[in-house]
Amino acid sequence: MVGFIVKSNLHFIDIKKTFKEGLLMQFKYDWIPGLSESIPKDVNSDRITPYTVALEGWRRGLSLKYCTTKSRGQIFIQFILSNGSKTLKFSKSTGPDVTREAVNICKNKLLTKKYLEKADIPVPKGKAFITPINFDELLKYAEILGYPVVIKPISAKMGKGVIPEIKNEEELIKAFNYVTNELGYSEIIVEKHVFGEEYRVYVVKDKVIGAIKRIPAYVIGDGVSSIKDLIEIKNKERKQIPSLRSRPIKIDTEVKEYVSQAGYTLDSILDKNEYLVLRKNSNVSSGGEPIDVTDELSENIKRIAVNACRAIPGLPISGVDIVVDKINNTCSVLELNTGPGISSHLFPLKGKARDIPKAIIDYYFPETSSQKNPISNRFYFDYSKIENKLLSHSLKEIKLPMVPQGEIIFKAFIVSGKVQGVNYRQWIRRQAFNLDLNGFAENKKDGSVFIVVSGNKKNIEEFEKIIYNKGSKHAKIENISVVNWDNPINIGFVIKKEI
Amino acid sequence: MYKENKLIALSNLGNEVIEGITGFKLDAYLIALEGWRRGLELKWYRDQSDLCEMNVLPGRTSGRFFSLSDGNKTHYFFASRGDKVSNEAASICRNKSLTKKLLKKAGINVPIGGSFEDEHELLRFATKIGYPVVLKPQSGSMGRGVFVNLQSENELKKAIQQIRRNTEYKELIIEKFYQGDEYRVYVVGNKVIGAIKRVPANVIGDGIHSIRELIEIKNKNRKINPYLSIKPIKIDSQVRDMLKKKGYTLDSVPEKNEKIFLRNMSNLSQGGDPIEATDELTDEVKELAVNALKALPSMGHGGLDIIVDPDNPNEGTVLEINSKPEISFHLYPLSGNPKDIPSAIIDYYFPDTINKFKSTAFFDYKSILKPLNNRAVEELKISDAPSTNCFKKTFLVQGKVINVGYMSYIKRQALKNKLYGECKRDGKNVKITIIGSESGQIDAFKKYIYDGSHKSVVVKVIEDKLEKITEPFKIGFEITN
Repeated sequence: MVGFIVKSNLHFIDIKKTFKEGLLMQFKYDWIPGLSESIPKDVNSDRITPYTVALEGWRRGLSLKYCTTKSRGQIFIQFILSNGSKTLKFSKSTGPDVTREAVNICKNKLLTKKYLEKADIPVPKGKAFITPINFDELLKYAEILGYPVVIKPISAKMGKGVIPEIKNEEELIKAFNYVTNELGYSEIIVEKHVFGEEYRVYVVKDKVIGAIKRIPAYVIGDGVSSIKDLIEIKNKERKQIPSLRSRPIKIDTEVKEYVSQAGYTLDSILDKNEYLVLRKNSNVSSGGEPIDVTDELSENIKRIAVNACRAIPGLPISGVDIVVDKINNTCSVLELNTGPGISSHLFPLKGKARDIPKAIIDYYFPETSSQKNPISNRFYFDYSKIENKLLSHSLKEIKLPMVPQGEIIFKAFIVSGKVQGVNYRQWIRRQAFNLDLNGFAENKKDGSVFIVVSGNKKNIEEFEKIIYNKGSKHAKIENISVVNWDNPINIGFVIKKEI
Repeated sequence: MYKENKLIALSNLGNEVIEGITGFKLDAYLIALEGWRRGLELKWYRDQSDLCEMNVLPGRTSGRFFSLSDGNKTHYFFASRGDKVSNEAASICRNKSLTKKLLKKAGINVPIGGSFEDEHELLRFATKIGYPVVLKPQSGSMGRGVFVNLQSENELKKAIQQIRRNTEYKELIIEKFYQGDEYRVYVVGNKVIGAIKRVPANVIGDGIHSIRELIEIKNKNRKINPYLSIKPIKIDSQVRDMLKKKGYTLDSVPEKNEKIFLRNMSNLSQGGDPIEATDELTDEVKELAVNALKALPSMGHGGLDIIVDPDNPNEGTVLEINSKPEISFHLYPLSGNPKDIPSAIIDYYFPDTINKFKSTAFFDYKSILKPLNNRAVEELKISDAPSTNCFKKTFLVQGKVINVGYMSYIKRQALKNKLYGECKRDGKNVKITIIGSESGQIDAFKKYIYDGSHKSVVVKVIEDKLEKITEPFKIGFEITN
């Protein structure tokens, strides 16, 4: 067996032909059918959330507009979904029912804690210290609390300035100086460090829709490959995953330290099935892996997650961070996120994907929950182009065409002959426009043109009639063969080239 | 060498603003740009929406259909036609005999003529009104299928055959051919804004070049004109015949300043020259043009074809009215001063904006509207034009700045800071132009230029003086080669 092959939902991709000892491995994911094929190549990481939620609404026949808004000198992208009578504006996955008040409460970790405590939700024990901070008092408090402790700024986003697992006074002083002097925060919380597994639980209106955990970057030995090669293989796998493709494991000082602490170098070969952790942090952006754990959650934890959302006024949808101590069967709520990303729920490396966009749109447009035309799953739009145009200051608003309705069929052709360099694709596009067809025409490396069209039956038949009888002025068509095509396509008609 | 002509254009509508845009798209862009520069909100549409049902002939709408809004009222446009030209008026314009009937009723001079399906009746009528005559199909536009100056029954018969062969029009119009100068007059409300005289294809001798060479030179000049670039003078049998009649061949060298006509027809698409000639029109003819437009129901603006006999300059005959005329030849004439039709149209639709600040900025029509042409989007709203004068500053950055992500870093930062401009590779260096509405904003941006990206090393920066921009500039930020 030669060649190293990864199976994505799309097709087999040969990713490492030169691999020393070939082995066949298949990565199989339990994802939402057709979704990864509906995510254009450059829609990755942070773009996935605003794209997939809007896509779900759009596929249900809602009208969709993207626009920009300015907040504190920065430009943000929002989208607007409408069914004609109800028009709602979203930022990422956050819709209008998440109130300003809820956002303000969740931004402030102290306030969040107060609301949660009031509703009897378990939270880590802790106390706030505000300028002027009496450092002696803080040390004393940490002593009473018992190490290890955590310190974190009261209002900081995305885990910034959070220092976990502080084991003693010395480390606390170091951490305190870092957070107050270097990062410049003047209000902090000192908290008991709670051990256990951290989950992100996605709640929509009193229901847990999905939960994931993240595990720090790691490799597993095969008895043959070096650590460096194993990381490379991991990164190739990550490349196939929409949410991870721009987030490889970087071999930096931390990774090198972890490797040497384990007594290895990057060139060492791990035993078969030997598990090597590469860093502490489990963020997916630094190589961590999202794993779906929805089915592992006990009813008790689900109830706590739901109740945590209820404890905050105006927060029907949220991503709840919970740490679960399985041994003692306890848990604590760490944080509630008002604008959580959803890509890890959609593309977990293990476990089942959870359809968060569906839950969000069901919540905001319940009347559409049963009216989705299945064929609409075969259409998507080019979000990265839209985002680029909006962020480039040239456009303020972009409205998408409605998703095709009714009985839609797809057909694909390979046309060979003298069909490149003779305006054939442009000619095809004109015919497609005249017949209201979506699709694309692509120049293939072998000189042929690959055409995919979709539309109603009558118009597709008409299109076939035309292309079998005519062509652009200088084209010489030798053969047209009909081929199979099951993938989704971009809305509109695009002219492209095989790369 | 024959002197290179420059494009005649209004000061803020030069070549860089309109490059690569032609036809009805150019008309739409010029009007949209004028409104946008005055601070109106500009939206482009893929198709006609149900917001505005403008009755237009079938064809591509994307890049031609747009709306302008001041927040209170919104007006829709299709190329040069706006919603102050009613559907009724537009359909009357498409029907030539109905147009004539209404004009006649309003006391406007129109050519003597009639329309016939039967060829014998038509020929009999021609004899009655006398040759030369004009033959054209009942409906149709852009001078398609129009035959002018038919001198005899024989020529008329040939023309009938040709129309019958090439088109499906049944009813044909026959009119008396009027000698005189042909003008395309643009009227907005009660005013003539511009008039172009259409002069049949011609060359002027210089005593050196042959007629063939003179045509070539003339075509080169037409190439730089957005309207004429795809309408060169073609050397065909008609041209050869015409020269032969005058005793020339293509290789003859005409004397200096000798004007030689190459065709009878003045159509610009046949190589005719658009010459700005508003001042040639007498007040009487201008009034005639305005009244002719008023003879149609709700026709706010439009273009008229008027023929004026130089011996009788106070009278004109209206040949035709266009509800969606091309306007670019008024803005880019082959000679004479350009006339600002878009400005007159926006004045008419949005009188409140007449004295408003007008930016010199423009947007990248072709690239921005591309998704509309792919039909991948339905509607686009262009970012607001700068509402004040802008400043610009140019920097030459030396050091390790190529292939280290420096230019894309600068672009990212510029966009984040709401600045326009461009980054250009200049040998081993990078040339940066930053444009913003406040000088302080540009100063504050300097830190990004000096600090640079992760992998770049900026050694030296040569700064130009900060200056107020008076010339057109593109919104957005571009990296060029």
